[in-house]
Amino acid sequence: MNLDFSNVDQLCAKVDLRRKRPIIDLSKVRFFRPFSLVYLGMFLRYHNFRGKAFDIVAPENNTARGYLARQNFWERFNFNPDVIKGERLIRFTTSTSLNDMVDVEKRPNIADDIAVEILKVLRNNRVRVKVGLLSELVSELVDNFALHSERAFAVVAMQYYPNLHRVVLAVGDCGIGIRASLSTNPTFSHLIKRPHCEAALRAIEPLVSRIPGCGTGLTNVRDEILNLGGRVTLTTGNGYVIIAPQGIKYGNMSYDLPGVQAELSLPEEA
Amino acid sequence: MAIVHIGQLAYPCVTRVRGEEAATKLQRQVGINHIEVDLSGVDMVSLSFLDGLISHFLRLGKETDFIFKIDTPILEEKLARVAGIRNTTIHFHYDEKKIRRIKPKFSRPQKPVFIPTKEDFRQ
Repeated sequence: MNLDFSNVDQLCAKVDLRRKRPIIDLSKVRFFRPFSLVYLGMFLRYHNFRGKAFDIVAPENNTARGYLARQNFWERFNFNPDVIKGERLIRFTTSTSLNDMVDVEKRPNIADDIAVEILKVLRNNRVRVKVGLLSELVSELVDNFALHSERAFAVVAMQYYPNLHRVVLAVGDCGIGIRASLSTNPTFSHLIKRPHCEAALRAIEPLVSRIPGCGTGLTNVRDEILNLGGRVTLTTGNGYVIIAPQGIKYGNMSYDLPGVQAELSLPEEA
Repeated sequence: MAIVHIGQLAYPCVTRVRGEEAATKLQRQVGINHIEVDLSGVDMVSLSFLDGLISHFLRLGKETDFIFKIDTPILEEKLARVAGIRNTTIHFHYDEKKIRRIKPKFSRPQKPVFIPTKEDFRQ
């Protein structure tokens, strides 16, 4: 099976969290989309933070197992993320390591640094997208994490599909999420009683932010992705919003995962 | 008129915080009257950065006292979106020196559709 936006929440919802060491069964997974990897990683981090460790059944498929190993999935997750030492932060191994997962720590200018690193990687690989624009959009998402998540770490995963002529980037954290963040602003305090997906929809409107006068980041992501013919998938709590040329859709996930997880999917230019 | 290249104030030009910092530096360096901010030749100039920069001067009521030099339609579009979001006036020019007023661009979001059962959105 492929693990992606359509089923990763169901996989998480099936995990029996009452067990001392809950089991996550990835044995039948043959392919991981970046979003699913980030979502699963954030599921692990969120529960690890609460003292829960998991037994994970690795994929039977060699390629899928190799992919997780290359992403340092086992080293990166399933331990307390707030005690990662600086030297263990895993960044792009080279300026050409295109299909990679990156740890992102909360500190000033982290969004700028990630934007520059992604720009270098995309440019060095001659990926035919507007590399500056895509790097900016990722930095908007990373900046949102740094400003609003109230957590120490996030991850960015990037994957280039040359046969599909598509680049996919996912960014995720397991922080307080959009609804709790927005509702700290008295103007949006009513959202705390509304569904997560409704809060996410508000967050993509201009000048909607926990910080009065700010709130252009997600609007920018929405507008630019639509201009470029791409797609944004945004999940927070048990809500999701999908923005695509076909329209904006929203609804509920099967699992209520704190934080914000997002995927940008862009076609290459002809 | 003082001309300042954005690269002297910030790199990369992607976050709102950098935009606000660049505005503060600009104000310190050359005052806030009659400045040309040259955005040309920069890898990344994001909407949030521009909004941070322009909002700073908006708060001071000085947004019309400077102009932008740009070199791509992408930058023009971003300035137009900031002008739309902030409902403000922005002046700019390309190399040809003819100063123009940006035409604000407003977002026209589509009406979102609630999907009770999550679909397979693979692409």
